[in-house]
Amino acid sequence: MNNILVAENLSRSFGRTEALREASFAIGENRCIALLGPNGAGKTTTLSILAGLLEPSSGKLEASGELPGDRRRWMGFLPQHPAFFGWMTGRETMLTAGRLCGLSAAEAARRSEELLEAAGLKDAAHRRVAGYSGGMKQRLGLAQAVIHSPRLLLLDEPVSALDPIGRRDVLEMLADWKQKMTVVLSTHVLHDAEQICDELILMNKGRVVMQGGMEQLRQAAGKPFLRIVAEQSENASRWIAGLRELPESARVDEEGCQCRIETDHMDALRDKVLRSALDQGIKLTAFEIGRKSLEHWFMEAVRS
Amino acid sequence: MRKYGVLFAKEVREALRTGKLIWLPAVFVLMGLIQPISAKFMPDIIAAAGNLPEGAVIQIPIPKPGEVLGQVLSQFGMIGMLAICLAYMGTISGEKRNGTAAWILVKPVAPLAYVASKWTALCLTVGFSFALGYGAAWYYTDLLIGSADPAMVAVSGFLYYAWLVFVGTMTIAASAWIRSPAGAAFSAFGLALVLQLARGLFENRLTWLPAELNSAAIRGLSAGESSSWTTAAFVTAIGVLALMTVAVKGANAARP
Repeated sequence: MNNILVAENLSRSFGRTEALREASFAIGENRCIALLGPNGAGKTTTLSILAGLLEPSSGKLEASGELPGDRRRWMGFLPQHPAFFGWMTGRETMLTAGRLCGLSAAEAARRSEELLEAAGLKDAAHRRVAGYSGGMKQRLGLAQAVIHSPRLLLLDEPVSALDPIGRRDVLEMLADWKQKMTVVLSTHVLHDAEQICDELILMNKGRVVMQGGMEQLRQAAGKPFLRIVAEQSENASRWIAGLRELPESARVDEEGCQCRIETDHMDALRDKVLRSALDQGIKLTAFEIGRKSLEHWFMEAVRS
Repeated sequence: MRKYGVLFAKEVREALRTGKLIWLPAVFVLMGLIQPISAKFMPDIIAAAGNLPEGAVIQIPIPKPGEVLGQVLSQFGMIGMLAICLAYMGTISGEKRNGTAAWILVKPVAPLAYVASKWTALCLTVGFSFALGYGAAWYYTDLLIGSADPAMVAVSGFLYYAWLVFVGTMTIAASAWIRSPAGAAFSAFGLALVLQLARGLFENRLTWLPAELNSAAIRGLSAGESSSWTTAAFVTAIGVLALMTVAVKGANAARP
């Protein structure tokens, strides 16, 4: 996998406060990467440096050699609080953004219509941006950030300030675009990151704590577990108590007719449990396989 | 270059939509009209307003056309300059603060194109406003008092316009560095006043100051004497270039 951008030991301080301390990470091609961390972790600083709005105090940023030297040509950026000229209409905003990114007038017009449609702003395109709602501004911000079909899209807290509907809209737009470009988004909500990203960069207090694929981190977060609930009966209680004897069970927490079994051999355990439940006529009401959530892992990583 | 054009179109559209291209000319036209009209009718105004005894003879010489236009320029010198400072005080700092400057500068746009587009829009807006105001003053002077020497009027108008552009450029540069719009307006306006004052205090020295353009324009009209202003014009041109460099540096430091 090619990296389109590699950061090495990036640091940035504002006066005495060090917002970013020797952060190193790599941004691969066609990935969706979440910069995750609590408030003040240095996410916005990192994105601003990537976007070229801030110069790092030290460290370097290297882009893949095949791309033009001016990062801004192949990069789109949406700041945390997107700002527009209130006197422009939505369509004019898109056209201006397109022209400023170097598109021809015809090309800018074509992309504008396409993206306004995708962002659900077609009917509002002739209205002034000053009258847009927060969700509409966010969608317009996303649309204008990709008008020149960038290779890398940087989004600072794209969904944090939105209501559930706006959030869903934005996540849907992103899910579509991440097929075509690398998306880096910052968030302090793990759930959002889990929904659309396939890679995580965990930050805390200006440092990169960890970087890795979502699946890989999930594996590392803890053993998978099996949770079983059966209908109340004496038979069922006895059966659940018996599950402790299974060789695959690593740890069992039981309570009446419920139990939680951690294991390293999920497939074998699942088969055995289901078969014995059928054999003994146990009426199962819930049978669930899960993992210790990343949430736990996130909290632990941030606290340490 | 193409991006400069896009930004320039944006500036002009903004000036139109936000009313800057309406109120700034209105200020200049109003001030341009007051002077010739009040010069012409001053005796009547005094006669009508004052409780003068019966038979009092009022003799206020009606000024020469050139003098009236000179007074018009002096008027522009205070209120017109202030209006320009107020109109452009937030042109960069305001966009920096609300994030629209960052919106433009994360795109592949040179900071010079950004500042230059603002400067040309300023030249255009100020030129339009000043031309309307000065033209109105000229027309009414011609109508009510008499005709002034057109060559002199044109030269003085040009010199004065150059001075106004210089003041506007100072405002843009101040706006690139000073966060508060009022602070930017105050610094630019204050500096312009200091320049004018310095020029006025030392009669025959400091004729190279940009404020000389202003003085030369007024002197030319009022006294009919044409003086050499080439040094001042040269210094002003250098000053504009330097201020633009300062503004580009300031715009480049756009913190989100």
